[in-house]
Amino acid sequence: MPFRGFEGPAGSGKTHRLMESVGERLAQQPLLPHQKVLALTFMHGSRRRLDEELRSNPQLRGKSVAMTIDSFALQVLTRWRSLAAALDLATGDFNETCNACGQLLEHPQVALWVVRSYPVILVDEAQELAPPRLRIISALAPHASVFVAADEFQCLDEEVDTGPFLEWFQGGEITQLNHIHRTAVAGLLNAGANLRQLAAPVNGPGLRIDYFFPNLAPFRIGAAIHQAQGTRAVLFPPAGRDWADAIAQRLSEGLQSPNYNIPPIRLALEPRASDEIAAVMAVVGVADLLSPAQIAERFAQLENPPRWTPQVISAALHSMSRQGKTLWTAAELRGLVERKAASFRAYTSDRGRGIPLLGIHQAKNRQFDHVVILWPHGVPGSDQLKARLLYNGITRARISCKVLVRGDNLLQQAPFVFNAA
Amino acid sequence: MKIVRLDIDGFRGIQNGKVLFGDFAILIGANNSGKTTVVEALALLLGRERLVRHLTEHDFFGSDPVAATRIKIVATISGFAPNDPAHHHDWFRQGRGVEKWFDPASGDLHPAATAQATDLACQIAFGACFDHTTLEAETVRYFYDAAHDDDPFADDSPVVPLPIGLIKELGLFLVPANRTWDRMMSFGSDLFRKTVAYVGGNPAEAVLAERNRLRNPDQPLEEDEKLAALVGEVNDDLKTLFGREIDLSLRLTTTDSEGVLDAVMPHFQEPGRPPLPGRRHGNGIISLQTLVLLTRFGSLRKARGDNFIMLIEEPELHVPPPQQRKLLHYLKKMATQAIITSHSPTVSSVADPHQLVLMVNRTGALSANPLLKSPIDQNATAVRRSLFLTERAATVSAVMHPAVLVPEGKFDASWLRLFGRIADLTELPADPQGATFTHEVGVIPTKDARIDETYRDLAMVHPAITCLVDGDGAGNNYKAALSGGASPCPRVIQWPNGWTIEDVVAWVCAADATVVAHADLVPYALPANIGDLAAYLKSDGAKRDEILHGTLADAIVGKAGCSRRARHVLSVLAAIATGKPPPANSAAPLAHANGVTIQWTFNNAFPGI
Repeated sequence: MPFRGFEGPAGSGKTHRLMESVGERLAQQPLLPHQKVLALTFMHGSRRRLDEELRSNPQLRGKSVAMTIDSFALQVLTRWRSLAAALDLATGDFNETCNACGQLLEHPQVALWVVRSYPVILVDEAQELAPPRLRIISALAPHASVFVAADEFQCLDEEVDTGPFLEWFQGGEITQLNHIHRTAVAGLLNAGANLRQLAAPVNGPGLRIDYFFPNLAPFRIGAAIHQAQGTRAVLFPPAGRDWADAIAQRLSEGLQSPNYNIPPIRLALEPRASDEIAAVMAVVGVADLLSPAQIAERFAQLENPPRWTPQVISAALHSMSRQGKTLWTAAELRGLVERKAASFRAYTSDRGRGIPLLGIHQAKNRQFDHVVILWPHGVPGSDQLKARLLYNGITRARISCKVLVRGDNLLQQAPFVFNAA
Repeated sequence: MKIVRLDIDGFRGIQNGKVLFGDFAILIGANNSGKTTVVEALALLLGRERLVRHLTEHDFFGSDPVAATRIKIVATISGFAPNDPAHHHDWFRQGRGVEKWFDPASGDLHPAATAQATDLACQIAFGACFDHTTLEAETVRYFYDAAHDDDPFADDSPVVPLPIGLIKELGLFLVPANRTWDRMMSFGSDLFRKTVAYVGGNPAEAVLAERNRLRNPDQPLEEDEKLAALVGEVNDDLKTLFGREIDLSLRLTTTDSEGVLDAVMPHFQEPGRPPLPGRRHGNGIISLQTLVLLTRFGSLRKARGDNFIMLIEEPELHVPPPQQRKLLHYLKKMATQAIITSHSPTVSSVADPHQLVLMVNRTGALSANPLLKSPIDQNATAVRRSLFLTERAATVSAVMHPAVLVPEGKFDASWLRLFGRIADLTELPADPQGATFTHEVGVIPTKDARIDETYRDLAMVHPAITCLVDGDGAGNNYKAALSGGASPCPRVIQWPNGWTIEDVVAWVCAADATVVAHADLVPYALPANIGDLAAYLKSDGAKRDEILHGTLADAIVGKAGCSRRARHVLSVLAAIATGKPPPANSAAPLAHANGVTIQWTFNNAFPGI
């Protein structure tokens, strides 16, 4: 039986249809009591949202497990390390782990071992399946009922060659979804459709693309946020962080002028794991050899410690009492810090106070009523990638989207104008 | 399902060790060789929670666990029917065990099936560590994946806990050595309750009827005329103290169902005699209750297709010899697998040599090997037949010692046995060298002229073997043969030049020549000159006359000088055999070029003896 695939633009209900057809599959062929549906995705955040969605689905509630592909790969590899060692598989970074896991799953005994627990597997955001991760899914596909949702245009990683994925995806039983459910606002729909064809997005109902003088920009942004009703978010592409920080700083002070009276607005930057880890490791010297108590002292120096630092300290204490590990090198501590940061992210909601301020990558598969996009100078990547970034930003919006560019010349460049078009 | 292999790390006296089990295995070995440790290890891993004792520091090897010290017990479960993981979802799937493939010939495990590794297997483990802040041991049972990176107590440990349901499925039942039998056939007994529950629950109506009868007895004790006055006074006192009526009544139980069940006492009745409670019968009958119950329980489980693994410690302690054999044969038939520990040659004789696992513990390194790798067949050599069939009882009792001595022939063995008797009877209480020989060294009744083959057969079983050869040309040849081959004998002792065991006996007697004049020896017409004794003992008739040997030994017991020499001989042999240095100048060592063998020559010119 070939796998089922769902392909369509952002907001076309791929995830919804994915769940629906998994539900149909379960109705035809119920799971055994110990079996569950395995839902795989890429980032911890999207795993959490997928998990929430599975919980709210009456047919799948309690019968599903959501995991990131990387943690699934690590789990399989850990349990089967005897076989991995016998096959001499390389392990190391996540790519190697995924590749080794894929190689293991190509042995039917391993794939069947997974499928005895998870006879139904769904994969969201499959466009990001680079070859090592694709290998996992394609090895499982002959043994399990696999359901895949993908939109190649939403792949934001230029490093990822989507060719192998597209080729594999052709082998499935694909349903094309063309109707956008997320929004019915014409300006947003048109801009999305244009960008997919590398055509310039056009202002229209719900969508404004503007340049304002630097002094005016904070006021216009503040006004847009202040006046909007519903969920709001401010997004920025790579290279946009500095401008976003500056705007956030201005808005937090409140804005007064003859025309505007905007109270302070709190934009909450969703920290990236790597920034948090870097901040924490900044208090540890390369040559340091620290006891758990010293680690706690160092972390106490942090001005704004991430919420997971207590878990690092308690893990270090645990290792001392359980394994007699009294001293940590900087490298060992970094490993521990990375593990704790990741597991915190995996299970803790990122909902903070204030209006989310986040990179477009971080905003993937989330949605908001009103979206402001801050487009700076020097967004890296090809025109195609810039179009994808803007597309991903605009399609987060249900009602309105305002795109502000930092310089007026930017409006003459991709993704606002395309030479080819 | 059955337990095919057990690996133990850091538990009690076993620093590390591995035991392979067949469907029927009898573990034999010297005291302290780890038989009980193996049984308790199985109970910790596979017993129901109630069987799991509270662990203390002494359960960790070395008794002084630090933070990183672990107890690790790994059992390999095999015998899945059918032999395919697809049929055993409870054992083999993501979130449960990872399948392995067991090679029954080598005992090795492989991650994928091979031509040799044909048996589907699951490895499960028990781990313990000692917490220095709470002073308690923490334990965990989990699916065991691989030897590396598998500390179940590490932060973020990926180990998957073992569900109790799978342990129950294995159906391990333990009869420990320190059992109390007399209430086995009552509700105080776990086994009885289990069996009753298994056939369909308590006899509820009978229990309730009995409970009601006990609540309202026809003749309440408190109304008996001899008690009535006392009870009346107590009631009056209570009334004064509490200001209300509180009447005392005396009932035989707690008047609830639990009380009835607890009060049940098994009775057994023989025709024409009154029924007697179990504990009034001899040990034979009361322990046989358990035999009956166990086999009943086993056959019930078997009839339902359930697993039943029996683990019995030292059945010889309580069960009389005729029933020992019956019990074991019955178990062999009833249980999916039976594992038994024993000191008894009777019990050991029920099993075939390949089912007898000899355990030897040398400073924490456990070796456990079956007497033979495979069942003995018609092609077996004469040596094997002798060792493992005709002389099996003697072989088994010899290898149960920490060290084993293989002499050249069976008369050497019988003389050494007599020397042991002499030593036991004449030993001085304060002798520092003591009679270590008799309890540390087992002597094999070697088939004549087959010392090399005997050594090779036993070397696979026992790790501490010493060979003893004559001081003649044949002895030199044996010595050469034993020092060669793939696994040369580590220790070979040779009598002085020209000597055989009879020369040793004559040397012992020569310490006090009057010994041969003993009245009991008159009928044997021993040579008057002690110098001729050796030649006489070697003569055909005297060499085989075991009555003469015994009589001469008794005479030696009476002569302090002679018995001292006999003890000296044994202490030299014992020291070498157990790997300790013998008394200075008592024997000369010579290291062989193979780097393994040390050849010792006994020195008869030992000063002061």
